[in-house]
Amino acid sequence: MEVTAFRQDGMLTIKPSIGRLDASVAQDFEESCARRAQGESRLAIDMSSIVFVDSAGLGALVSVLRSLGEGARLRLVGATRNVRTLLQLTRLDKVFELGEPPQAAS
Amino acid sequence: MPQHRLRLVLAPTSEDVSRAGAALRAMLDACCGTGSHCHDIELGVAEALANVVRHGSRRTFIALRCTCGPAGVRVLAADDGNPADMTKLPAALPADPLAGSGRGLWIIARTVDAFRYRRFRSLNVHCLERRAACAR
Repeated sequence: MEVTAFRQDGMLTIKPSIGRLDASVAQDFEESCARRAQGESRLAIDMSSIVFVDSAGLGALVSVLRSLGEGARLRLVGATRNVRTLLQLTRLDKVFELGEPPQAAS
Repeated sequence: MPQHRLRLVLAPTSEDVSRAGAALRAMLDACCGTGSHCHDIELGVAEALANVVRHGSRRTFIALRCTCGPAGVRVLAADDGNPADMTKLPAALPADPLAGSGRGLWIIARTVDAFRYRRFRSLNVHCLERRAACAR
């Protein structure tokens, strides 16, 4: 999976080039993110291109967070309304930080 | 308002389930506009199909039949695998918020109004319904 990464304010941001984060790509997504995030304790994932996430995608996000180690923080930026609603439904909005994409943040 | 229909036969793979989800969403958007219930039913169906792929055994296809109209959305998914064990949806999420799995059936329970399973002529048949008035 193609992902781009850049650092802003000391935090690595990963932007995957996918529109759906589901079981068909979840493992690839998880491995790509974990590889890029090695040694990081804070990570942001730009979710703005992702219009659909299912439970396998949520599991991949949780796995990425766990791969960062204890006390690590994973920030999901630019999540669409539907993705935010799913995070609330599954109470993962309490696990991940939610934020705006870096370019839109003040 | 005309009723929209979609019929698909999928290989029991996560790739085909993903493509079916996108096709279902396109049909729902054409029928209803982009209401939140379109996302809900897409998500519920995707979870049901993913569950069939993940836990079903000895199945060679999944047949999907979807109708969308004024009464809502109805999706039938039939597969030829061994009898399924998905007759009850959970009442709670996994206790561990960092669990890597266990959210799929909960999501189905929260996104559709009715979910039924039956064994019919050597097929597992799952029926999902969402009673929502279309925006159009």
